[in-house]
Amino acid sequence: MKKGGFFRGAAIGFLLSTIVLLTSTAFVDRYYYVDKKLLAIESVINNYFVGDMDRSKMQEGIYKGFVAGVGDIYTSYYTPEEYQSFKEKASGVYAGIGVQMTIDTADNTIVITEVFPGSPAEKAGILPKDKIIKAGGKSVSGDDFELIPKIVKGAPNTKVSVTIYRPSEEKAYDFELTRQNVTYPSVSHKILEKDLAYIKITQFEEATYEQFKKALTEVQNKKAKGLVLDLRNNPGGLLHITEKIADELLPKVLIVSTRDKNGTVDESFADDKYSKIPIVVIVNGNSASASEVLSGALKDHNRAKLVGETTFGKGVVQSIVPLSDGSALKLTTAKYFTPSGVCIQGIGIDPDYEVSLPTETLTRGRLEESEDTQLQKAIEVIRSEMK
Amino acid sequence: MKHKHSLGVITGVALGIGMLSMTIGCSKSITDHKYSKIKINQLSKLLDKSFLGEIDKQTIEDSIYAGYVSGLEDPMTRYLNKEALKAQQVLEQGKYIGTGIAFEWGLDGRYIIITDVVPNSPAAREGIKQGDRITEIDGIKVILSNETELLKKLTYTGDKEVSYSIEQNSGEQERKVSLKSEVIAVKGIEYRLINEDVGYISIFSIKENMTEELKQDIEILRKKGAKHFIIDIRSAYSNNIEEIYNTCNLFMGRQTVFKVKNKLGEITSYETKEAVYDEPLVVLINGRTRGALEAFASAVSYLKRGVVIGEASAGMGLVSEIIPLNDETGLMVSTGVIYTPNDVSLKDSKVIPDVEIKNNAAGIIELVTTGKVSDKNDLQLMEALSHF
Repeated sequence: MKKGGFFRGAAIGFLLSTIVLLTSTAFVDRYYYVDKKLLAIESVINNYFVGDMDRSKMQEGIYKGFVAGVGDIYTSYYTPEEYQSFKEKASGVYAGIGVQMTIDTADNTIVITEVFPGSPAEKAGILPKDKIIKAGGKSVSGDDFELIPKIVKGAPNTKVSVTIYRPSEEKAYDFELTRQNVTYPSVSHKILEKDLAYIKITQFEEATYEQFKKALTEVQNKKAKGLVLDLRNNPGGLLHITEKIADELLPKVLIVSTRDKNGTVDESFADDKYSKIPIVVIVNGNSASASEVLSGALKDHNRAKLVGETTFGKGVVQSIVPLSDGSALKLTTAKYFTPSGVCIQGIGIDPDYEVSLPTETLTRGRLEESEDTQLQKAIEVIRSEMK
Repeated sequence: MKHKHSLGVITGVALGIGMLSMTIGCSKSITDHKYSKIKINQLSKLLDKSFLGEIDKQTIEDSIYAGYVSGLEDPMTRYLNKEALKAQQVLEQGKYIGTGIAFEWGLDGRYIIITDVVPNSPAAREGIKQGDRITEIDGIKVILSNETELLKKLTYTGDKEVSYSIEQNSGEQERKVSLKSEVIAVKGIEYRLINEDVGYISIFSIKENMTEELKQDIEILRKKGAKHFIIDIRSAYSNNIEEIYNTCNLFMGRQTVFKVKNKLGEITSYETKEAVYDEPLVVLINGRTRGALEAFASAVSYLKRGVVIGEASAGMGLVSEIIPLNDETGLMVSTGVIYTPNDVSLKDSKVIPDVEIKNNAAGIIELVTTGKVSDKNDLQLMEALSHF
């Protein structure tokens, strides 16, 4: 992958920021008023507020408020704890038991949808469709869904007890699991019908590129002649990972370009090595950001047809700047443009074949392949291209 | 690779600030512990340098105060900037500034469905009806990524006209309508007779003197033959504890209905006088039933005056007041915690219905496609009717 790069590295960054700080800052003339008003607010709280005051939280609130004040939902301040958990998420590695769960709305229980390979849960024999009825000694129902990750996650090599109910056997099982670092797969793949492969990317994390490459190699080894790439409900993630995935699928062409505040343009090109397997991409209104970079590049270069619904419409890129005290600032720094030169912010990308899921299927969590009309259309389109 | 270098800049920036903040930090006299100006300077510089977009100082200042107050992590307590204070004060009088439409996001996020239109409001005068779909506002397309901008337009209280593209039915020709916000009456209470003898009363909010209105509505329903009553306070809010006490007094006689503990720990017990009505009662609640209305639901359940049906309430049983500051802004502050007669805090625990039942996806899908839920798809209402 070749880049029209422009950043000059750490030394200049250091110099710039130092100079910038020595000159007066934009906000400094307002401190007098801000401090005075904060005192007035504090006195109202002291005189009237019925609860307790946690000063450190209120201080963090000031930083959060300051950053939120720019009025961009993608620009925000992370407290040290929030930034730590953000980094964990972006890496795709968590210390836990290695399952994915959802709420079964039929009986308001927590049901396991996936057990990750090599995870403590798999080693113990926990299966998909098992229901978690107790965790860490506490009985749990669908109402506790938010709570479960807090119970099952924790430092590696510590233990957590989990009780599951297996509907197929009408039996409950107790497990004592030892938490381990688990890489949560963001790519899954299967063969749909003999020579037709399916790859789903749930988000773009650090580990996603390797996982995608492995999946692609595997389905091609199995002699797949066509690929359905499912980006539905994929909220995005890391741009450089997405670019690497696009590079695997595109010839030597522009993948995406970004333009920052100063008008500096950065173009990202694919190299000449790529897989020529015919592709159809499935997208929907929750395919956002990096998903739109990938589907936009594939569509603009006529490398793939898009099936489904208009995408989310996030055309801006964020950077994360860690601060010295462990907190961080996430801020929108650039717009991106698909190869045809469009910024899709607030517009989205229209599919080549518009297909919505039937309303009655929306009430259910998981669709059978036969009920998934978007998948069916994708198969029809790819079949016609494989001929 | 671009990203390696950009990481270099980031580390560089963080380092530079880190070292500098140490020196500045030491030399600065300690006058204020609220926050670190060094840190605000860091954030400010980073935003100035790289943030893509315009920054408005007044908005940032308001947001600082809002953030400071939200650090209390109290669901009712918040900072009110000039516009919000004005809007809140109007709301306390049973009115609000707006165009008169209530809305939900549509099924696929590509339209906003109108769920209610206030009679005689700007929207009603333009012929907008429940079930109409908004597809664009002031040139902003309805799509999930525009949610913040669209919400800003939909709740805009200023005096500019806002242009809406409206579809009467899915896929039909759109028409453009310009709406200007004005002060209009908030919808308080709606009522109707179901199955000939059930008086159904939906309360949206309880403001001063609304118990009188409720009483009149009950009288009308009684004359029409109502022998049972359903009081629907789902998604309803009130911070007027005195008025809720009056409402309790309609149905529950000579009892402690709730207590309120103030900042000093003083407890006021609310004892009702003679009840006015003794018909069987069902109260419908959900996760958006909040504030003083939670006291009403808990009293009905605790005193076994009726059956509470639905989903657990918000757990925001607080009494709150507007405290203005001297610059036309102010604070909404929680000043009291509501307790049940047996001393359970309704701030720390929710009102659990006697019969827990959720509405299913069919009802939600109907709401976001047609703008309303029919009785048969309202499982909570159906459950309520089965109790008479």
